[in-house]
Amino acid sequence: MKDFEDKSDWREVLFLPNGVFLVSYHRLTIKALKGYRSRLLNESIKLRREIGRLREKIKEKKAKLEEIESMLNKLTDDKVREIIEKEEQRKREAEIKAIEFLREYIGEEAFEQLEKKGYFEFTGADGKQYRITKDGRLCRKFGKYWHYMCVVYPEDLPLPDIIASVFTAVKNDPTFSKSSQKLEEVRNWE
Amino acid sequence: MGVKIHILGKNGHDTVELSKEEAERLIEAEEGRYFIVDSKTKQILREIKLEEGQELVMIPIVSGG
Repeated sequence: MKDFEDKSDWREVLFLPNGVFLVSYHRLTIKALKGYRSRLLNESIKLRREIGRLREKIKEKKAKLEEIESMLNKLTDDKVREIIEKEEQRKREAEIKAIEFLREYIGEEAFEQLEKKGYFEFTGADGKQYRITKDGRLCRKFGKYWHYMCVVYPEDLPLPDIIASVFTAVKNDPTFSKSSQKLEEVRNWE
Repeated sequence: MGVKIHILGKNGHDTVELSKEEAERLIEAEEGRYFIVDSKTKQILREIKLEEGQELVMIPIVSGG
């Protein structure tokens, strides 16, 4: 302790179980001491305020959680489950009906191709070769390659009806894809 | 006798049987939203001239680019 009385700053090496440490000591001036104390005081006030705000937030979140849980309980009620099952059953029946219609509409051969290969091919009203995939996407043949085309679907329509709709449009409308025709013109020109 | 119309829509397939005049009015009202296809020929109707006993399908229109 006697050695320290003469020094204001010093450093030393400490060997501890978790590693080697270089420790430095600085004597605080009265001004620095007051400044440090003031900083700590401000920090403690800030933390207290923050804790207060967090408590308020926790309170709000708890109220919201209670509200959500009560709504969730209502929505997992048997009545709701029944409505969902009924709607799903209706959708399944609609899908079956739509598949039956599609089979008849595009023809047995095309329908079999769709089921086996995942697409069916046909000639559009513009004389070009088209392909409709089982997920309702439309492709057009450019030379050796098939290009996906942009199609705007009606909302919420069952997939077989979408296929029927795309098929009808391409089969009957020679100007179905004006932009594709332009693309082909550019390619031919190139 | 009338006209049988199958309507494809998001709520499944509906089939309605209407008189010739009622069917023509329905088709006129839905023009632009549906393809009107003759069930037998599978061709889109180019003009609204229906016949008794005719069977039609209304298919929602898609547009492409």
